[in-house]
Amino acid sequence: MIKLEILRYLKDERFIEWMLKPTDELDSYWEVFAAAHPEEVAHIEQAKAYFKRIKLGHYQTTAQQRTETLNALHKSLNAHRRKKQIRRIAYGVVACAIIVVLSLTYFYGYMHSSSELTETADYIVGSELESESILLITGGTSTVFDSDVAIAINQDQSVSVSSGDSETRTIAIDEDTTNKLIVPYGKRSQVTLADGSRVWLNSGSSLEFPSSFEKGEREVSLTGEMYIEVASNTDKPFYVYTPHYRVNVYGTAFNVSTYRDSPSSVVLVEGSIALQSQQQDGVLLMPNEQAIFSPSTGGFEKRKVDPALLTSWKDGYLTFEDTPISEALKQIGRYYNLSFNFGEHVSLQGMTCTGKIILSDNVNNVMTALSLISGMAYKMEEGLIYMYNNNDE
Amino acid sequence: MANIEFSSIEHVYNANLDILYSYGVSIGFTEHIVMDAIHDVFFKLCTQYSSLSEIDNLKSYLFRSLRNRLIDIKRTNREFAELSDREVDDLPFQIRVTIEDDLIKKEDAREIKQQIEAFLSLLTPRQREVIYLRYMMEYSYEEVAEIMQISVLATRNLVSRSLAKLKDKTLIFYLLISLAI
Repeated sequence: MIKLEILRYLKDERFIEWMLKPTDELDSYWEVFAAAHPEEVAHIEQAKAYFKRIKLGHYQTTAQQRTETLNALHKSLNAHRRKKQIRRIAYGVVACAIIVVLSLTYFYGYMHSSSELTETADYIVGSELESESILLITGGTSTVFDSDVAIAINQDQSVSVSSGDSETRTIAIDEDTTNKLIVPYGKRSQVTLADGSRVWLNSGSSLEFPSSFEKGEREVSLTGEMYIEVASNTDKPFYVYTPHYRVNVYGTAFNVSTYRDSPSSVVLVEGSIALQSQQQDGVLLMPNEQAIFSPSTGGFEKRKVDPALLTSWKDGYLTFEDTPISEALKQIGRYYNLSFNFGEHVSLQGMTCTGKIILSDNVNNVMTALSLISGMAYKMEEGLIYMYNNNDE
Repeated sequence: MANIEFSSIEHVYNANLDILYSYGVSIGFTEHIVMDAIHDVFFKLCTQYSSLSEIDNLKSYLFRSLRNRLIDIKRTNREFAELSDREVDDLPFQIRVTIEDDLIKKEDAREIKQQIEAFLSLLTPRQREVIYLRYMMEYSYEEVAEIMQISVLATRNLVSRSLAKLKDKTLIFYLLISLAI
């Protein structure tokens, strides 16, 4: 216990004031005091040390407050970034238009300009966007992952998450909660649902799914794109809700794509499914058929396709067959979190590409592959990607 | 302009959350409002700067931003609380005293606490705030002035002005000493 000689100072008004609010007067007061009582100097020093341990105006946040506010901050920053991206693309379009006008007026007479990029107005500019994290929301808590994840719902009310190089984590969930997995552009994930159905979630997608399928029906909601292999169970029909329509599943594998900037479509690989929008009910799809949703009519158009072309992303490559270059760039942009600005002027708009592109970790390899199959050239400079027509040079 | 990424401020957030929270609560706001204000401060930091290195003194930037944000919130709420301009700008700064020292007996701790509280109650809220920043946060006068947005001289005056009561006592003490000699 602290000695009485020291305690005396801690209770002393002048000592307290000296500690908290030292003034010249107080300094000299204690100097004189110490000079008069040299035997007290050691006690005073110890009293000072004790006083330092007293906490003033000290409050502590709880662990729950910390994680909640940190998540809230993360969320608002992501929302802000998305808004900004939209603005950036809009600026980009304007910038492109300005470049065209400048190029046409200024460079018209200067065919032998030194910069190879400004020789033609026909190029598409792409820029890398800041990377976002994958977000898993289970009940009231959300968890953030920096690299692609594989998630499996277990029977014992928990979720196993394996992410990149780190160990598998287990998160407890309630039986009756709905979970949400948000995968930003540039990332991918896999989910094994409670009934064993397997989902490949593509970049820029989110999937809502329950912790268990106790009820009579199995229901999930999707925005973006997924490939799903539904576990067969005739007692419990499986429904996929998208912003515009519902897919009724009868044990099967298919691909649903509902990106806002591309036509929404469903491709059936095997089994059978029916589509149901507000305007059109019971559109039955056969294997190797694709149904494209038409926002103007609210109905579907069917056509024969090779499903491998449209589902190869889940196996790590993209397949194009007479695909417009703009559509190919959209797909690559989503996968690598790049933003491409398409000017309306560009003759590139009519160009198509045919071939396979392996989705490697290096964007450079992908762009090289795209140049090869499209006959275009590309250049990367300071985080921007320029695509231009090779033949124009 | 690029933003500061969430991942690069996460550690700054964790390292400063408790001291910012303590400051906000001491200024006189409820924990909920303080947490909201801290959120706003970091949001603004991330969206207005492209790198943390653009800020000279990050810690005092955070304190100043939080203080301004809380005053803003108070101004917005004024209509509901019917406060005058003066009342809004006068923050009722209070300092809670906590003694968690095993070496000090409970009754002694209570007595020390009462003494410190008695001393603090003689000060104005602004003086208490300067003491808090100087003593607890160990800020220099320059930093305190920056956070409270007053001049360095005013900051010094706020703490160097002695309480009249003490002067008398000092005089008596000098007197006693001179008599003893």
